[in-house]
Amino acid sequence: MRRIDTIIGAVLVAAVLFSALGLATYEREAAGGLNTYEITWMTDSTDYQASSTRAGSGDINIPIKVSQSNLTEVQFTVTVASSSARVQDATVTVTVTPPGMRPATATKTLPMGTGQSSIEIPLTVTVRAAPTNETVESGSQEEANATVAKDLSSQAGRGQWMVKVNIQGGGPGPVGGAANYSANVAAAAKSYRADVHIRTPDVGR
Amino acid sequence: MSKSDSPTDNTSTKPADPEQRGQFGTRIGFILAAIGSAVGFGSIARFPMNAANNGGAMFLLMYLFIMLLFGIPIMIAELSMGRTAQRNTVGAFRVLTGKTRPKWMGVGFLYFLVAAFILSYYSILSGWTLRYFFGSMTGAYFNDPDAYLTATQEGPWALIWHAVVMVLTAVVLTGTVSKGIEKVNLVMMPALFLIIVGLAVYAATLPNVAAGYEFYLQPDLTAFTLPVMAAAVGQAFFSLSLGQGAMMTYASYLPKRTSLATNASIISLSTLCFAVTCGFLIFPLLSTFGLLSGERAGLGLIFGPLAQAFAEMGQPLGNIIGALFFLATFFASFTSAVSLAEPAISYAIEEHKLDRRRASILICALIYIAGIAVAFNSNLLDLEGGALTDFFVILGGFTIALYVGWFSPVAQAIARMDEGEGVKLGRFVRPLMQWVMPLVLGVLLLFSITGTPCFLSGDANSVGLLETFGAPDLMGCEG
Repeated sequence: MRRIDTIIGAVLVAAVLFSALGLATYEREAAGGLNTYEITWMTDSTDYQASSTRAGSGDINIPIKVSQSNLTEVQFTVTVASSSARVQDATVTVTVTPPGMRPATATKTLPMGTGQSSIEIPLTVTVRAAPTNETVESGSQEEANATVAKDLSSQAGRGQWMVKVNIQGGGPGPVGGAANYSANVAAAAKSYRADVHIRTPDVGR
Repeated sequence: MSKSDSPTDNTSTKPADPEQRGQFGTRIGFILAAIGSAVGFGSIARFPMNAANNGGAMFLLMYLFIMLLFGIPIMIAELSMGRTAQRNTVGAFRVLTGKTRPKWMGVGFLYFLVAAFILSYYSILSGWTLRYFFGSMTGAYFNDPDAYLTATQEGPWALIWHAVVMVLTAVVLTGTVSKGIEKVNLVMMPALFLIIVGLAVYAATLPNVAAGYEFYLQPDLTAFTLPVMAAAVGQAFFSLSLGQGAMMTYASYLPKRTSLATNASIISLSTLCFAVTCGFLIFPLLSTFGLLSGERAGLGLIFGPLAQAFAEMGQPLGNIIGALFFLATFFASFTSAVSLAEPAISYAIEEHKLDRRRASILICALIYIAGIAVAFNSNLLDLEGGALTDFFVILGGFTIALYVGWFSPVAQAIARMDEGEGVKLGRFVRPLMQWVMPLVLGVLLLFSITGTPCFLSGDANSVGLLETFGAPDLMGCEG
């Protein structure tokens, strides 16, 4: 057999092998069909201690890893719990920062007088591609905030997200004392639209 | 110094014997092949959207001017190099310089490697259109266009159709130039034009299309800004398939008597006319179904709103129109794919003495392997299809301008461009290659590395090579 035929044969075998390797290792969509995500939690929650006898503030940082790309919308629900049922007037701000994008925030105030010991803060982060550098719309309370993707990259959403829960204030309440806060973050994908992630190879061909 | 004119003499400084090497059988065959190389996804959806977003009819006029001033001259320059040398891109520089191992040979390698690199991901995109062709016939994406796109763009289906396109490419290129490249273009290009024109006429009969035409063509004098002109220059250069060895290789199969000026003009203006016609198809169609938006262009337009429009048409109309459209898109992309593989195949045949069949199989298999990663990770398109391609293609064009304008003796350069019948434009083209094109392409090359400055990119987000590989945004355009 000619040497070139050997080389061609080897290349064809390599093509088959690499194809098989790609098919075997290709990440499948999470169980449940095309419209689900796999979000891996690197940590569930951390406890933060703040004193209610003085205005206190601090951050609970929860990094989460999103292993799927092409996200269009993820809804976060942050539950902030206090160890004291009487802590009042704490302002909780949740900031979600997708990789490579501007953060989205939502703020809620623990109401006075109710002795509420936990508060749920829903925050919808919408990841979308935008052709222009739009400003981030920020909302408050339970309004959804739009996060604008940096560019038309189909990478939008893949990688490590940071959920920051900032707790300000929380006292002095009528009974004082220290209060511990903890935050849990749950996330669910709302929808999955494929039209966001296509990026045209921009060569004009 | 070898005096051989054998096509497979890899030390020869003589043009190869065209009888042995193969030639285009007809002039129309070459012209259609060159148009096939130039026309692709960008012509179908990127150019019309650029026009719509940047001044409408005024953009078309400006683009025509830029095509005449920049596009045609540099095409003449590249064609002249190929036609004179009658060899592959590496061997061409031996002939052009008269040296058996000129330094410019490295540039010859650049051309065919860039073409092969582009094809490694381009064939995947071409495979998408093929899948959508069949998907249109069956209505497979009508219920859930997004899910179908997701399954198409990466994963097993992307790999399968990538393989199909590369096998078809190899089959075409196994034939001689006249029986392979020329024949496939003689069939596909007229069919492509007929389909696009027919669909444009059909689109005109749909209701509520006036908004589409207005969106496309409404003139806007305020759009004559520096960013728009910069984008038009870039678009003109990219849309003509220059700097990638494809045109040079095709021209190497031309007889010496051919008029390069006439051919370059026909190719450039036909490419432009085709792109303009696509706008007359796309925008009325989108307008009818309320899908008109300025946000999507290129592939995003084709596989997003347009696919949705076909789905909205319902069966059987959506099947027919969608199938015709994606068949045309496949023809446009496949003829480009063939032109991107040929430079490397020509190199393998002439420099390594392979027969055409073995060279086609080997090169297409290697390109297929190179594209496997993209088939499983469409995110790589951002890197490969964006900054990397921009950089290498502009570099290729820059080297053509440099060679013709500065490193080739003046008389020789002009004589190469003027050889043959028809209008002689060599003495106008050469000064452009010497003074204008290096400056324009040099600036574009710099911006392909650093990103375009804000005052030139306007609202568009331009990501250069450095930023793609993780460097901070040097241009500071972000708010």
